[in-house]
Amino acid sequence: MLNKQLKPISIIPATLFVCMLMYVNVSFAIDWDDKLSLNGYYSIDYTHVDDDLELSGNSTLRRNHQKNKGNFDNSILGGQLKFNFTDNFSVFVQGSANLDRNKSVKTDLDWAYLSYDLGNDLKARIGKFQMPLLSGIELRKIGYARLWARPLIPGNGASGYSDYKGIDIIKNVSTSTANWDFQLAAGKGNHGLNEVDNKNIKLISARYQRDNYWIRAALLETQYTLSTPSRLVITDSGESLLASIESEININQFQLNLGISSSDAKVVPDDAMAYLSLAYRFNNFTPYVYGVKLKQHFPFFVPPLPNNPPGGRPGGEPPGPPVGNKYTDSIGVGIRWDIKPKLSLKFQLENIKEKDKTRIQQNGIVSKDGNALTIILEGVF
Amino acid sequence: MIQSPPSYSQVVVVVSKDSVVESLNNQQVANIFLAKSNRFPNGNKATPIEIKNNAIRAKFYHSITGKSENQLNAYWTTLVFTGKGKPPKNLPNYDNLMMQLLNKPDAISYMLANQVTNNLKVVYKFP
Repeated sequence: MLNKQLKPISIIPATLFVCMLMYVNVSFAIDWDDKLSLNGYYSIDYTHVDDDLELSGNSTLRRNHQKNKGNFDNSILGGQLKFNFTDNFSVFVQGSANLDRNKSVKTDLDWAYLSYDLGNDLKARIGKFQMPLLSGIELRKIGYARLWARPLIPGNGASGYSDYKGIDIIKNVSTSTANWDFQLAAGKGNHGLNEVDNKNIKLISARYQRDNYWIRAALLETQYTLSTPSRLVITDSGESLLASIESEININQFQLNLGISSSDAKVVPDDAMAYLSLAYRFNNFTPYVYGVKLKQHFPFFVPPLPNNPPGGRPGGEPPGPPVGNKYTDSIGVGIRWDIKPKLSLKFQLENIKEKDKTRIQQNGIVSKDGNALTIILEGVF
Repeated sequence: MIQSPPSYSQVVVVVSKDSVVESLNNQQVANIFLAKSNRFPNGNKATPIEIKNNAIRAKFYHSITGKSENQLNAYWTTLVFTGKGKPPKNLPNYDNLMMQLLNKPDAISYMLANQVTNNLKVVYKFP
């Protein structure tokens, strides 16, 4: 991922400044003569946890939070530029700024592509894209687009792939009662782990929308090289297959969201994930409850051994890779308040239980049971 | 398709009188105004436009999508920040809207039935 480290200033004052601007100007975008449009988004996130926890994040797939310490680390600010060269041909660039693990401001180029409208609601694009798997992955950074304080799906729900460079084809098909959206993509994926060097991805995604519900299903196939942190190749023929399906159903004021994904991978962990959320819209307030289950399976494999120094390795051989299952269950309750158009405030309280059985042979089962409180102000402009 | 005259408080969908589009159904109107399609059923380009902060906006979108304004904003956020679409172009007032409708055969908008002039053609009215 193309990113750049900036000097370690706090992102919060900058974000607050932008929010003040947004509060007085909440119209969507700046649109000059149909050619150039600018949009932006922001999240000011305060999270407090009562145990050391790893939560899915707005800017990163997962973010560590320290016990009994509140932080704004999950805050994010982003902007987008779209320029239409002609009615059919355009360029789209979208980036963001957030804090990295060292609390320095990091900028990411999240999307950058050329788009050509082929007519008949068929579009071809080439460049860099976010992974169009589950909506929580594709729109991870755009908090205003979702009901919850953070994506329900951690990064592993997409096998660790967050974005790719390549081409995609989007086709919309409308009938008198419904819509179909199809997306085909191929390219080179970017994995959250440095040890995974992707060779290629192939993806197909289909979304069906009718009246008060939609369903989206996706299938992702990847091939990769897996190395140790010291760059010893474990396998040059890694493969993974991921399938996901999610849906949103609106009945009167109720909103039901559900999703499931499962992956089958060589060497890297297989994962299975499911979420269920129920919300009730009451004017500008939307209270909700949700539950998420995640299981990761770490298969047994023999890693290549580095050449030992003469006389053996000080402290003996390093521990082997984890083997077995790791479980994460979380339940949460929250409320979204749409303060005004394009500005929302969310409160969310959740309980996270982790049970790591992969270290039985080393340290025994590691369990965590912690709570997280999040207050988040989000908007788009 | 011949439609019965709309009542004056009714919201209708209009194009220029010179447009070759004669009528649309609810789904086709929804597809165009929700950026699902940028074409009329005959294949010609469709450009939805609307007056900024107009009083009938919420009623119009609720009629074609069933979504509240908050839901609609979240919907547009999803489309805008994945590059898959953008909301209809906002115009400052009725005069600008009329100018666009009359000068651009691909333009389509909505208004109250009593605002429709002889230069416009009603292509859909809500039941």
